[in-house]
Amino acid sequence: MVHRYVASSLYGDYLRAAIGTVFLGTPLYFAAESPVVATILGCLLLLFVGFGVRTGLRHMTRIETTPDALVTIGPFGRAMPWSGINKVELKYFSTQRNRTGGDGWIQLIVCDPAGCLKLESSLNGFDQLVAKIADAAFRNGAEMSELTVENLTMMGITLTFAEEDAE
Amino acid sequence: MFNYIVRRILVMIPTLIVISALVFIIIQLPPGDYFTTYMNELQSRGEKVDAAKLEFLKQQYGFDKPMIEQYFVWATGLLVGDFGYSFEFSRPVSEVVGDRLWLSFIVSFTTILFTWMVSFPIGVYSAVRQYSVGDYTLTFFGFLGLATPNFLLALILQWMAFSYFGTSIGGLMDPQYMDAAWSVDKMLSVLEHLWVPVLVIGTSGTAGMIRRLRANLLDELHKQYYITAKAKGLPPGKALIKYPLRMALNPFIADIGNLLPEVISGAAIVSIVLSLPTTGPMLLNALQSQDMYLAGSFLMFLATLTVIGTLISDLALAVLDPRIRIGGGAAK
Repeated sequence: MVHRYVASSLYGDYLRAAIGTVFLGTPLYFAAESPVVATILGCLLLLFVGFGVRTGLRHMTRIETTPDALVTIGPFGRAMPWSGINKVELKYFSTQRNRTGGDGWIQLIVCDPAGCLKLESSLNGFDQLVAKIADAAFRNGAEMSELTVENLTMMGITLTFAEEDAE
Repeated sequence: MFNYIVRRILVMIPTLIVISALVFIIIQLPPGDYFTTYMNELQSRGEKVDAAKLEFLKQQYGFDKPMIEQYFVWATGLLVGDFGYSFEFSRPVSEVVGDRLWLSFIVSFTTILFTWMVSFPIGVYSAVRQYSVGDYTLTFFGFLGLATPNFLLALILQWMAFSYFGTSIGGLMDPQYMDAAWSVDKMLSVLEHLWVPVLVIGTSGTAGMIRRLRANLLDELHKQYYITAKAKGLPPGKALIKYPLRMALNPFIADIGNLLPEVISGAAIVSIVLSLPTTGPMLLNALQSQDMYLAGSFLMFLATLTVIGTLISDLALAVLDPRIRIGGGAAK
């Protein structure tokens, strides 16, 4: 199955990057009199430019699941064999303090000995992808924190061995 | 996390715009302006007032322009580091504020550090050893700190510092360093004087923080998962740090946002009592004399600190507890 970041989420991120760049770049361009203010504005501006670049990279990225590996197609693309997954982290973020407003997003970090891959819930078919990765990680005995297991449970994903299933 | 930081900073932009508008409206609310107050003061002293000069000054500083235009000039100036002009001091605000901002920051930062360093171990101890002699004793001192007025404690400590350590009364440094450039001796003098305001401002916050952490941790310690973890043989220290303490820390960290302005506004009264060269007394004077740009810049500084405090606590909460909440579905 092929997963892509959904367009509405990408356009939202482009808009965020643009708003940030305009709001911070304009005062910086038209003379920040104080070096302290200029440094703060400059650092924040870099953050938003970086965010825009990352959104662009995501736009060009596809995630494919094959029988042997999790494949990233696009810039910095690579194949991560299912058998090589040694660490999985699942985190939830929300800009609302009570985190129940539905504006949050989930970040999945999956690692093998060659490096880590960060995926977000704005990918289409994210739930199936998480289930597949969690299953492979569980079989490999990969490192998973209590929080990750708790979050997987909250997503309705339970981890069991095939033998236990058969029983 | 990158995504989170960007989104949170974006939330800060409209927040600060709205705050700046509110601050500007508030400092414009009292009738008249700085020049009117100044002229009234002159008249009350029986001095001659030149109405034409008053009008000229008002025109020169743009007081005759519509409020929205004045706000726009002030707000765009803030963005590029131009905080306006102090009429009372006849100097740019940034020059007037000078070292005061840094000294305020040092006092506030040290106070927060003190509050945390004292309240965290005491809060944990009081919860783990609930109803013990230690818990009662520490709780007693906590309530004592909460109940004692800051200015009273400031006077007592000031007297003690002078009597026992020979520290000069008032101020954040010895008088000879007041206008001197920063040096090791000046820093040492600041450190010698710093403990009094830190102790005074920190005690009330510490007591509140101890009570909150104790209550949160007690809630967690009575939950099934902690009892199960201990029953399964997990060492008590590990069982405490790994699960309940982490959960109990959430409200503790969420409090950072409130702590910053609380410390600074609390410091204003103490600063007057202790004659500290911080921003508090200057803000009070600026508000009284309607020195609008000086007062406005201070209020914006306080508001920005609050917003930054909330950002820090939100980031810490996001790192500490990235759990999915019931009903908190992820956005696609």
